[in-house]
Amino acid sequence: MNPNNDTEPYDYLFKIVLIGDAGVGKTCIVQRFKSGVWVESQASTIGVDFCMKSCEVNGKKIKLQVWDTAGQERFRTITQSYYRSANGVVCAFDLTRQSTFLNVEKWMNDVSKFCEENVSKLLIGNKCDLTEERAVSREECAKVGSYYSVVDYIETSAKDNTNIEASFIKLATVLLEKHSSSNLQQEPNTVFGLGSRTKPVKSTCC
Amino acid sequence: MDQKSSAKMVVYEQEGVFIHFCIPGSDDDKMLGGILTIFKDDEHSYLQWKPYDNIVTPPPAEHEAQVLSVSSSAVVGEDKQLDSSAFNHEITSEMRLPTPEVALDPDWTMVAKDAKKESSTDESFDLSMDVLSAESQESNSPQYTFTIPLEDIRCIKKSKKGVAWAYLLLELADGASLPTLHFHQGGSKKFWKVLERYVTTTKSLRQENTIEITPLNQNALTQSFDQLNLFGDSSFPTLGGKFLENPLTSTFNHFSKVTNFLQDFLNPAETTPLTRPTNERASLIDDATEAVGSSRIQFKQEGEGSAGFEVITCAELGPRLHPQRGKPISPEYWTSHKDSEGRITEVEQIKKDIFRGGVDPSLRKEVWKYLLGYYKWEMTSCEISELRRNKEEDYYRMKLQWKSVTPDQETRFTPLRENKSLIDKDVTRTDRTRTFYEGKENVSLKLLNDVLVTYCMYNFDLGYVQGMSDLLSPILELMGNEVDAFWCFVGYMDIVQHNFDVNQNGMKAQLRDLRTLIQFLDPTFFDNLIEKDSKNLYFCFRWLLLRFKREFSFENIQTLWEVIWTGLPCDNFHLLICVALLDTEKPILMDKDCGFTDILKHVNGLSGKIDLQLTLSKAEGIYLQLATCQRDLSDTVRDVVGLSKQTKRKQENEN
Ligand SMILES: Nc1nc2c(ncn2[C@@H]2O[C@H](COP(=O)(O)OP(=O)(O)OP(=O)(O)O)[C@@H](O)[C@H]2O)c(=O)[nH]1
Ligand SMILES: [Mg+2]
Repeated sequence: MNPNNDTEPYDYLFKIVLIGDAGVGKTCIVQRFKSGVWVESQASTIGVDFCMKSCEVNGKKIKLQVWDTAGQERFRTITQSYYRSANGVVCAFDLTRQSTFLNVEKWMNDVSKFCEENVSKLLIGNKCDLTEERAVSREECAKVGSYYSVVDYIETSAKDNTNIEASFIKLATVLLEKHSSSNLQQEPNTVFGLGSRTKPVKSTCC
Repeated sequence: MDQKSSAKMVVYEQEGVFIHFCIPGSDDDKMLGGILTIFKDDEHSYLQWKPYDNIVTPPPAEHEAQVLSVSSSAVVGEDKQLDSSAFNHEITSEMRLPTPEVALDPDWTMVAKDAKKESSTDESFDLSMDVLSAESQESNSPQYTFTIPLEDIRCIKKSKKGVAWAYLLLELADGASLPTLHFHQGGSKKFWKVLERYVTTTKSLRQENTIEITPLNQNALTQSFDQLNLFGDSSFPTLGGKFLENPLTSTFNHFSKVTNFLQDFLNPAETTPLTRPTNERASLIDDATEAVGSSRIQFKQEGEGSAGFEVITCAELGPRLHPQRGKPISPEYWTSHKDSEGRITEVEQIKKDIFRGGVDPSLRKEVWKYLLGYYKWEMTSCEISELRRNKEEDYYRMKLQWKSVTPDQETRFTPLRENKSLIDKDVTRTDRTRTFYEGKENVSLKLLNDVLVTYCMYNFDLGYVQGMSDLLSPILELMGNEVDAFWCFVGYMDIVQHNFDVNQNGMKAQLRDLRTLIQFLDPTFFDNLIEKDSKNLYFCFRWLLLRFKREFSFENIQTLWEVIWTGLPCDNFHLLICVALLDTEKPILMDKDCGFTDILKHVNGLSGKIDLQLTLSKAEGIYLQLATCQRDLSDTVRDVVGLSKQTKRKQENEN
């Protein structure tokens, strides 16, 4: 079986987890990024889903494994288990709903709890097409972003296809720099920081 | 040498270390709990296991307790098969409990080092577990204590990760094995730590999970196991055939050296740690050789290489049937099952037929109301009309409650506001490709919204959780009106609401139960999931939360749900459906290239591609397999598939 439908070689594989409140548009963002389409009535995400997308940064072939998690509060215990070994996190909120912005704090706390310390974070304010309904100012968002030392704060619209690809490329670039500068040159087709072996799994016996 | 006479220093002590026994001619088996110690005297270090003062019988034990006997070579005839009738002797209950005095008096069954040389001539390996030594015949206290010098351990095979508790298989220098030690209360890690202080341990290259022990004192190697008088002395055959019918006896008979009797634990038995999963019990009856083969423990004779034991780990289930699926129940069938006043007759049979083939689409609207407990089967048409009037009133009363909250009020009513906002988000995302819900200003969306918000008022403690809209959508479409849809939905939520609990305990329990089943039914697959870091089964989360709603077409999910709603053959039939689905996908999921992410991806991608009838038939087949070997199931498995309830019910009926 070939889950990714593309076996093209790549230089780096990064795992990116997409988090944020229910309905902020995470699945739409992933869909837009992955296939360039806009599906208005995407079903809510139950558990997690993921997709792969390749891109090129600085002449390197990068494969991004994007994990789309459920935003519903109650499913957090499940989704948190997928944070492990993420190289990057995209935390999204809905520019038209202040509560989703206020919850960025909760999500960032989860990140510090469940992700590796050096994970790269990106803050996204989605639905920027709805300018009339905007509920938070860009300054506020940027401030919160820098408070959590995100690599960038970007406003996006999955609907209008604004900054979607740019956001992922931005994160990929940062990850690439980080990992090539730390001199952890990976063999092609080596999963970067992925899978179960990055952290010692607690053994249940002996 | 009397142990008490030399200074003994205990360096490790662990309670709750169990040995598991098979009991011949009985459906239950025994475990003997005890204390494992490592102690040393001036010269040597020893490993000792000493039973507590009684035998733990897993509940429910209706039979008379029987005590395991492990033979000495004295009892064992060469290659002679034991008479099967000999296995059926019972030990009377008075033997069950030892007297406290004996229990309190530690009986150090120690190796007399100086006595060794004389006895070491006996070729036929003398491993005896002294069931009833002379004095214990009186006290009825079986003494199973064994003590061995650490140097005599050659290697230790560890349990794999992920079993309910760790267990260790100790193989001695001369190729014999000790009874498997099950660390029910943990402590195996510490055991290693301590052990490493006294011997050198190296990972075996020949065998997985095995640690080879190199003694610090090479001389010790000359000791042979038979000199250790492992299980006390052998005044034992005095009872004649009575205690010798044990299959282990014959096991020793056939494989005179290896006594690795019991084995690997596959079952989580999380809730009942004292119950050994009985599926692993040797099916001991007639033929000792067979018993060995079928008990999933394979003994290899010496000469085949000393690392020769192997634990076979697959559930012993009968062949899987593939029950035929049936036709949906028809309108004629349904009418013929109504009496003149509209009561439904032969409800159990109807449920069986629905389980077998579902419901004709033209009948669903009515039948679902019964299946979901909105209508009661025994109600007359008149009573139903009245019920509907009341329920309608009830619904609109609750609807009015939230409808009359003004937007201003709502600004100070956060819980309601938040629920409404979540519902709003989901209503626009639920089944929008279906004609019924399609389009922007579709009235169905409003109905979906209103039923969900009203449900919040009905069950405010739970509120709205994502996934509920998926469960409501097919019901609403079928019913076509909010009142009936609401009350059917209430019935459905009554069944599944714990899946939506704030603490997620319901989902956790379901995942745990599913794990129990997989682990029991297909240990190899389960091991594979462990290896792939997927044993939490989170990839089944959506199946369970939405009762497969996203995995099947609209038509099929209706059939699937009505089948599940019959409650047949057990409340957890949906878990068996999960097992069936995984069983179908197993070849792909177990592929070495299919890792953690691929499993998730593959399972998510099954949506819309599943053969419903085949899956239902397989799930039922698995249930029947379990039901057939019912008495061999661990309590945990039995609980999950509702067989304990049945047994109880049967017993109650009999009484
Ligand atoms: N106007 C506008 N609407 C958007 C945009 N992105 C998403 N939406 C809408 O927001 C709603 C939720 O989008 P999803 O992508 O399903 O949200 P999610 O974050 O994945 O939600 P969960 O899966 O529940 O965690 C959908 O109804 C989309 O139509 C956007 O950029 N602009
Ligand atoms: Mg989503």
